[in-house]
Amino acid sequence: MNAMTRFTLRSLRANRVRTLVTVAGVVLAAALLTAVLTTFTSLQSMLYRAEANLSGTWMAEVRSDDCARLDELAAAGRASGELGDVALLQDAGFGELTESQRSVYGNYLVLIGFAGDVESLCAVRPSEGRLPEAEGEILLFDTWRTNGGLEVGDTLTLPVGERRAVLAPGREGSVSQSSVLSGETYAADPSEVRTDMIEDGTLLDSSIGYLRADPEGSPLNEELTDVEERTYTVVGFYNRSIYASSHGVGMAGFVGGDLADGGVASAFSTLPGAESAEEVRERMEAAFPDADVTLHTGMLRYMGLRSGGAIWDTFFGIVAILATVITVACVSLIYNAFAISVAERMRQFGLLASIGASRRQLRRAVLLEAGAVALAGIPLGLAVGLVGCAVTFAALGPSLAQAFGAAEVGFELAVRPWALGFAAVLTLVTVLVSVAVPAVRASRVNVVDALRGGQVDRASRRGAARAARAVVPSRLWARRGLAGRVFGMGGLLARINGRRGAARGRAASVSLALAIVLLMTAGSLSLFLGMLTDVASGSEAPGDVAVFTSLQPFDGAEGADAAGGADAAGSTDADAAGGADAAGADGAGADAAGGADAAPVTVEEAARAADGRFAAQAAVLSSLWDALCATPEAEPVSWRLSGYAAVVLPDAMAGEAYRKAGGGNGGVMADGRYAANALVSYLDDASFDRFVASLGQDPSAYHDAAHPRAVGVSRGYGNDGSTYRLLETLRATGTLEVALAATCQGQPADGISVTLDGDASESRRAVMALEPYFTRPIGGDAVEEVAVDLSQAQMAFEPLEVAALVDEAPAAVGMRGEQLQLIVPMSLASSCSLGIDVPTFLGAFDAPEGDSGVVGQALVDRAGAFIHDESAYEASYLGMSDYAGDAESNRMLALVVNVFCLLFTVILALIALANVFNTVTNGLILRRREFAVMRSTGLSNRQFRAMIMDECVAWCLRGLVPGIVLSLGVSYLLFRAVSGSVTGIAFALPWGYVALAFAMTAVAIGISVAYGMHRCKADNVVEALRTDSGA
Amino acid sequence: MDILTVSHLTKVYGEGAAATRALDDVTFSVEEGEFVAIVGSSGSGKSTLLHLMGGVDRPTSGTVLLNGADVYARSDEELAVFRRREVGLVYQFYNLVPVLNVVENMTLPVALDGRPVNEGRLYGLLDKLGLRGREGHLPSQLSGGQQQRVAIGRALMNAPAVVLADEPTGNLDTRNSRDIMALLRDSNRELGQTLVVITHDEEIALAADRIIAIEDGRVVRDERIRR
Repeated sequence: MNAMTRFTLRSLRANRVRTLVTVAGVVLAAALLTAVLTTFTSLQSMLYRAEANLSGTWMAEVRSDDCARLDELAAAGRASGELGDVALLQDAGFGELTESQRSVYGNYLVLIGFAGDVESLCAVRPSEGRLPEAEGEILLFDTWRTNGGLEVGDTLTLPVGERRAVLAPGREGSVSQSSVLSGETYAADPSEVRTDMIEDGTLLDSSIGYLRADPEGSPLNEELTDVEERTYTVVGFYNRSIYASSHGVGMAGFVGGDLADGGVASAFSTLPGAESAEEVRERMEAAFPDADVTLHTGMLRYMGLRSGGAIWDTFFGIVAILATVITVACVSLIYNAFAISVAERMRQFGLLASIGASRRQLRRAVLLEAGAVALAGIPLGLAVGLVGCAVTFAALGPSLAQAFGAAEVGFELAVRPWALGFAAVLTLVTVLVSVAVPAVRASRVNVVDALRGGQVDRASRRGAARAARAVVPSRLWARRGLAGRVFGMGGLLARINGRRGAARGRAASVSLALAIVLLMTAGSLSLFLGMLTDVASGSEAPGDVAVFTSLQPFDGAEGADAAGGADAAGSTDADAAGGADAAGADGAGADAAGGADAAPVTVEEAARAADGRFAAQAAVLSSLWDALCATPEAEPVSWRLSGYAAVVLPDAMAGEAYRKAGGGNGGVMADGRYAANALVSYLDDASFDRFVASLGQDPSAYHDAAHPRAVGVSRGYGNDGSTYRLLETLRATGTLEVALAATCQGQPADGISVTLDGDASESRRAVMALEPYFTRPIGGDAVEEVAVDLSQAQMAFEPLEVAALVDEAPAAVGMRGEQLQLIVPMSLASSCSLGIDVPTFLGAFDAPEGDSGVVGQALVDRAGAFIHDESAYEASYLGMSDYAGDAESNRMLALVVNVFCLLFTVILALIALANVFNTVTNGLILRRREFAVMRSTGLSNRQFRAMIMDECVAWCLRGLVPGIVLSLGVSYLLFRAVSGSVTGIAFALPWGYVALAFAMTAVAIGISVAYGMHRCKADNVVEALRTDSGA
Repeated sequence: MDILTVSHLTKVYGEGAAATRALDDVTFSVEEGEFVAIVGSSGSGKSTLLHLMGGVDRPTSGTVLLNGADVYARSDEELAVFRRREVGLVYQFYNLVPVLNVVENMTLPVALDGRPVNEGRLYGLLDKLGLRGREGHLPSQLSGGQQQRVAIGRALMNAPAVVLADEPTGNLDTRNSRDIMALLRDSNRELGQTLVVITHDEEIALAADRIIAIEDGRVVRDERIRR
């Protein structure tokens, strides 16, 4: 150990408190960086494991129509080490399904043969039983068990053939079908799209979607050829639908036995040691020439081989922001510590320089000091960071995993050497950057100045100018300003020091401002993220879980099931069933023409038919509700039917939403009345009566079908021209008119829309009108609206009395929308359609805690089965909302967000406060000689305290004001960032954190000053005045 | 008349085996208007003695009487007031407050006492000290000799009972040393200022009326100089 080293280490020991604070700063920096990076790697690991669990560990796929060659190439690739594990999946035919099976399992049972470790590579994993081994064994999707009643050991016999494209009668041409060559359907770049040309007679593999000719689109249908009967023994079931559903034509059944030589097959492979997505592609292309390569994008991303993707960018962004904030905070802390340390020892450096220490040696002495601090701090920081992560993850892991939808694989600490190395290096860089300026300053010490009596030139140039003016004896020491009056002579000295001294107080002020900015940033982050989770958690739910569905007439009504459906409908209203059938004709493309040829109807007849159609659907859905109520563990809460209708409001009823806006939801009409879209909800009678009774009204008045009454919701969301907010939709009770039906030239219109009135365009403001329209299919499921000539149109209206207004719809009706909302009892449904063509059904249930998802799925299954088996309809949409589950994961997410914000805040606060402590304390200690002079001249302790107090107030003000201004800016930027993705958040200041920032900085200054004064006083005045102890 | 009486003054630094007896039973007194030089080699205890006389330190035992009052019977606050009014201290390294200008440094004890500045005395001292025209300068803008003159001015400003100077010329060249000593002697003769100067320089000591020599914390010689 040479003299400089010893000198350095001794000076570190001599300033134990400051050294400890500095080491603590390094520890915090390393710990925070480690924590951020480890959280990142743990997240990455969780997503990797979740992806592997979901879709397997394969990195790339090739598809070929020559399975034997694929197998050969795979074996060669494995032998050469280019490829890792390889699994093969091969099309082994398509099982024909019955009509009723098709609605559940898809168009075919897609038979897939396999070889290799498909369990880990392709996530084909039995949830029950085992993978097929021998010829004639099959692994089926779980629905075959739950819905089809099959068990392990049962046999399944069905015709199996090849799919072949055939031209529809009288059509010609071909189609191209694009399939995305990617493991996930989103974020694919265009180069990864494969296009297949399909023409008459083309054999179709499992990647090609079901072909169905339509009048204006594809001319091709498909059929099964080479059909033969096959029998399989069921050996197991799988319940992950991800792989299976990637086949456009049905659920896969995995069959055992050797692969056939020919036939379309895919090879899924890992590529050990690959370092980029490009390398994966190149190696895969080299191993399988002439085959299309598909990358498992999600997997490669989680393996770190591929950048990009919005979520991943956000992660990187957050990591980068946090790392930057941490680094900046730590640089300021460590820089201050070393700057003070060097300033204190300037005389020592001068002395060393005078006896021959070179600049390099002096610089090294300071760098060595930094090195020693880093050596002590970094390993400790890494350990603290890892332990902190381990503890946090142990507590929050399950919540976090659930929030990311990866509860199955869990969130575990994943330590990566590169992350630790990176944290260590980044911390070291932080320390070196922090120490660079002080080191250079030490090396440039002016020997003469340093040795000359230790008198430090502390005054600034402006201070000197001010001093030069203060010479008029009568005005000397005049107690100017508040400081002079409150703090007396001490305050006056403090003020002079503040006005003339250079830089010293500034360090304290800067560190204070930084502390406030850091605390407020953390506070704002927590506040806005909290708002995000609040907004995401949404409004009050009608129950724990709800089933949604809407009906459409069943196309195959002549089939075996149709009789039952007809019975169900017929049992309530035979005429209505007929009406439904009449409406049912509109499914086919020839409908528009067919409709034109039908017998003319009057608008009254059209309205009656509409009422009938609605009543029929309502009857089916009512039976559906009863059926659902029998679901085990599902406790019925309420149900409703809802749909949109066009209404006409008298002037007295129309709210500001229609008066100001010329929007799509309504506005004034040419005749002075108002047209509006209304959301009409039929609430089950019990819930409706409770609701009306809660308004203090008599429910029985609402059940008179001859005189329908509704409760109106008076406010809805709308845009008033500048902001999106709640607007008044109804201003008074009264009677409005609902458009029931319209005809044009004797034909019933398909709907009535509220649109801008083209005939009144010369008017100064937008004028709305009700406009009937016909729909015309334009290929696929899409239709386009064709408006009719208004002069030829007739419309039927029904008066509806809005007998009460409420501010907010009851939870059973659901969330507030943009429309006028009207609520009527279910008892009206059998006679009044109120203009609704296809109602949406919502059945809300409570479920035992934690089971809402399972209960919801059971409800959906039951609803699907009921509609299919018991009605003349099919579900055009069937789904559920797991309100309880969503609320639970929102709570989890909020908890995770809050805990992370809290930890972040605490650690940033520690850094900020350590910085304040260092600067304030050392600012005082550096001046102890000056204080000693004053005290030897007769400054009393009281005056000394007053002086320091006054200086503190000045530091605080100079730190607080810019700190708060700056943090307001940061808060606003954060607000902008957050509100960019979510509407409905108001800018707010985290007042709690503002108070916390004030309190903590005040406490920090208090402690620092107390310690600093203690150090100054502990010094004997005599000691302090001796020159060698002063410097 | 004795203005300053030191009796049985003992100061021990440290404890136990490490204890150092800086002053050991020192007794002497100074008359009003006297110019006393205390001489001794480095580490003889002369600075300790000066600090004890100036009310900056506290003795282990013994008393210091100034104007008949026991200095160390006072509380810390009273001691601060005592230092402002009764004592003027001059140090080897000037010890001026760096952010205060010449006149502010000189009038600091007056200001700390909350009394108005005696303008006549201030300008008289500035003239005598040769600091006219430099009233607004900060210490960093002055030479060493000038800084020491400001320090002397500060010590004299309050017309204290005694001015205690610790090696006032120790940091100055010969010419400046002579000037400073002349200043101190003049203040003694013209203003009747009682003066105790610590020095290791025999030549400087010879300017005094009386020389007290200290070795190892004890008074070894106390003689008046006849002129």
